Amino acid sequence: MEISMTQGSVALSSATPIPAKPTHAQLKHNQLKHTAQPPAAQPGATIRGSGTARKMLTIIGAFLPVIIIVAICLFAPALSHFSPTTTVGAARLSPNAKFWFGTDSVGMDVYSRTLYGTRIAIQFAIVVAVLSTVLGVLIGTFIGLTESSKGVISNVGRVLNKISEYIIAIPGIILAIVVVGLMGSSNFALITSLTLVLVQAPIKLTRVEILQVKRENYLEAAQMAGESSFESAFVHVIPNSIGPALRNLPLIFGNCVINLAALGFIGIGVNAPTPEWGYMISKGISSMMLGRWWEAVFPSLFLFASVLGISYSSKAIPKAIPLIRQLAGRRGNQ
Amino acid sequence: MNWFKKNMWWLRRIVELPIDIAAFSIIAFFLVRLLPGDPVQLSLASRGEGYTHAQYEAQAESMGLGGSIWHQFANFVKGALVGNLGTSTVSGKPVTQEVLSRLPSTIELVTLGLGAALIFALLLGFLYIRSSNRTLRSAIRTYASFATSIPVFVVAVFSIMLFYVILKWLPAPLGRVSSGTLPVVTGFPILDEMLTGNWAQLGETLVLYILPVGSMMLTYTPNLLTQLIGGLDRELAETTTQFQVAAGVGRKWIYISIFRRSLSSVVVVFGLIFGGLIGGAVTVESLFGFGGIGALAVRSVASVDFPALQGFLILSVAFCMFVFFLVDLVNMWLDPRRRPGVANQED
Repeated sequence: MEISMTQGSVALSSATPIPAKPTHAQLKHNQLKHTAQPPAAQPGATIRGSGTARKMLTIIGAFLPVIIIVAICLFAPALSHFSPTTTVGAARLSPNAKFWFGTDSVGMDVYSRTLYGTRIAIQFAIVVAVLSTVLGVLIGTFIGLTESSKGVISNVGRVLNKISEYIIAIPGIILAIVVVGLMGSSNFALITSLTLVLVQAPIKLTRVEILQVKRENYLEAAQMAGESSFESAFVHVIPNSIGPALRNLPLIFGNCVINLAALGFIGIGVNAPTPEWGYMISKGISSMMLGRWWEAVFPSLFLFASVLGISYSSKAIPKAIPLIRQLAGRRGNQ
Repeated sequence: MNWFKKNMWWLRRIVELPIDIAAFSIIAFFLVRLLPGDPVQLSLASRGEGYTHAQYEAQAESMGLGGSIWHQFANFVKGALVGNLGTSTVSGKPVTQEVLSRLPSTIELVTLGLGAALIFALLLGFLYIRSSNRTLRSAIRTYASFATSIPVFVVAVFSIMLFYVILKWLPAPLGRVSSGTLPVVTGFPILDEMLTGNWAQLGETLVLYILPVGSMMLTYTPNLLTQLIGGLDRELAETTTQFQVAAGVGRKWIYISIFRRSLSSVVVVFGLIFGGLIGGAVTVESLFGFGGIGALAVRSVASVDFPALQGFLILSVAFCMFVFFLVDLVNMWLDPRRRPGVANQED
């Protein structure tokens, strides 16, 4: 509770006064949420010079990391000269004119593998982020609408909420390891485990939002107009309470990239020889001890830069959107 | 009766702890069984031979997956009540013993890493409110904004690269001692070395801890720092602080008061990260060649050791809940307004 208030977010703090003993589930979810929220803009920090050029620069800067990452994903085949999954040269070559990032211990080109690694990471992140958000909004809506109603269905809602609270208490990587371990290593298992870990935040965020939206008058009006509660859930409730979950999406995206790499790093991620950063880093460590630093360092750099880039863009884009509106508005007026 | 009322806040929390752990264990039991996929088949397939129906049944029984789910549940509850979470199908040892024998070394590493992060965050927080230097303050704020966006093993790879490969200041990151075996008394490596008087080994371990502890410090400080800075910014503007200044309270006491009021969310995040790192330290541990609880999980994944995975899940979360319990107590102690019932009396 404390945490969400520090960033001036409204969803939780206005719903309930400071409880004496916030549960950990709530706190953890607030932590997730707090990082998802753009930090309160420092007055004058971004919009100091109000010149058009300056605004354009801010907007471009906000989108630049995302654009670069997407471009690398799309043009990976054009940017690299070798196949990322086959031996293309002598093993253990240091970076040179032909193999820009050198070759690894079986002679695969580290440069191509690192570039294609972006693709793998982003593919997983898109699937998991969209899946988690959609499922999270649906489950959160169900819980929010049913838990305080009457009848059997309210118990279902309450039990689901309790289960979600307990799952939030499980550290993500532990849950992911166990799920992948029991399902066997496959893309499906990885997506399931990452989604199970990352779906909890949108569930919580949507549920809290629903609890507020539920009191709005237009729902009563819709009910009187004869809309079924199922219909009004999709037409009125979800569109009005989807905001926090959507703002949380970039955070899921970044977390998914980190978690996928962590799973790959400990050896239970995407199957080899798929070019995945975490796996490449862990394979490259032993070479690094022998002085062949390039195998581990380049994927690490890419992982580091992309996660930081995603995190930066997710904070900067919400700040840039008003600027875009301003610029667009000015052009419209002329 | 009066004593009881006064100490209600922590007594109630103690009673809640086992209930939470029990509820979680039940959820974990069903969660691991509801997952798509068949661990029995996976473990048989991992041996690379065909199998008969009888073999399948025997394997299911040894993994605790024989019979109906209610039969399994009854067995699980019966075992869990006496602290028996099944037997590892790989080593044949009880899962509880396997996990508990590895837990101390992980706890030690995480405590050192996060302890360093906490001290560093407090130091930067102090600089943040003490200094009027704009560049320094915005640098601290930028560092804090890195929270949750850096994987710890990437920082560790860079630090190994710098201090071992390039500068050659530190020894190869291959375990806690370069040769010989660690003494085992309590399971906490550094403590055991002190207890048995192995000063040479202790020195080695401390030097080998520099990189992992340093990487954890650099990675997790921003998480604590964002909370601390947020709290400091808020509490600095509170009327309480203004009143203290107006009343001529000493500077030192004003700082202590502001820090005390800002710390609660830092403590919460500290607890969350600590709990998460019990399993999450696996990347650091495998990178630096330390054995730990995470290594057990990875081994169990490779061999589809169902009882070990289930036990690992339950015990590590039970430990997390214990950490959360401590966090609640520390927070209620730091800030009496957080004790249950107190807020109502104020209204």
